[in-house]
Amino acid sequence: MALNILIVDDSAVMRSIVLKVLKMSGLQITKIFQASNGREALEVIDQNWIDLALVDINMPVMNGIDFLYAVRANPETAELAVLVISSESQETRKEAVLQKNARFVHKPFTPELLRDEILKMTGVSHA
Amino acid sequence: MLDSNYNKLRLRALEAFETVCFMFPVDEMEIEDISDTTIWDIPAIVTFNGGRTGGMIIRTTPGLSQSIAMNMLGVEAIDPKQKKDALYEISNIISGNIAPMLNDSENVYLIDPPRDAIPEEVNGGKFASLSRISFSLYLDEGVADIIIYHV
Repeated sequence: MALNILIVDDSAVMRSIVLKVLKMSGLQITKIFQASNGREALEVIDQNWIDLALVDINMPVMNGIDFLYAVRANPETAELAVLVISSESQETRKEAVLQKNARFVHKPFTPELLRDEILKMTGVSHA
Repeated sequence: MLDSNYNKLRLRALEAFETVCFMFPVDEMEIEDISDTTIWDIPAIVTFNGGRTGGMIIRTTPGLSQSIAMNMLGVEAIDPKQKKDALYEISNIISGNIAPMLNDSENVYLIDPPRDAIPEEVNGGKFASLSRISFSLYLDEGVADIIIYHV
């Protein structure tokens, strides 16, 4: 199954890094969308079918935690697979992510770690 | 407590450079051949509030921020915006990792977006009343100075 994936990060450099990992992951990807904050991401989700969202926490306008809560509160997007990618090191905020049925990858990450987490979430076995 | 954290802070910052930028520590004596440590690129600052309030400044020797961007993006040609964004991103990653290490509080830290630091922040004038921790990271492509001010 080919996937539509959304990358949400205010850093264009980090979006490029994640994009590169996705392209090297071996996943079948239909389209990769990008947004620079949670508000933009909600607009993308409103207009497109998204299979997986990769989301930073600390962003202007709307942060990743508020985005996650908004996604889970909407019946149409409540089941969206969300992987939070953040330098956040506090257990309090990590628990908030996990309680909302999302997964967490800590920055700094190796490309292999991010790839493996994405493959786990999408149910694609490692080649 | 903060003194005992010094090495942990330094190691966490080094880990970020190694993992994200593929840059590795070298001996201080080797750095003279690599970089001029009397000139610095425009530094970046990330301020934070929460368990402690303060900011982290990172400044790099000329060429290092260019190398950071090249290594992060995996490309040879870097424009000025990418160079700045890459320095901002490594600043964001390091501050997100080290701010919670400044105390044991579980208070949520709010990390502000990175920006250019002004001279009064780099020389400490703006933070004269705050505690200061600083260290230099001698990397195979240049030197990064990290200065942390906090209440």
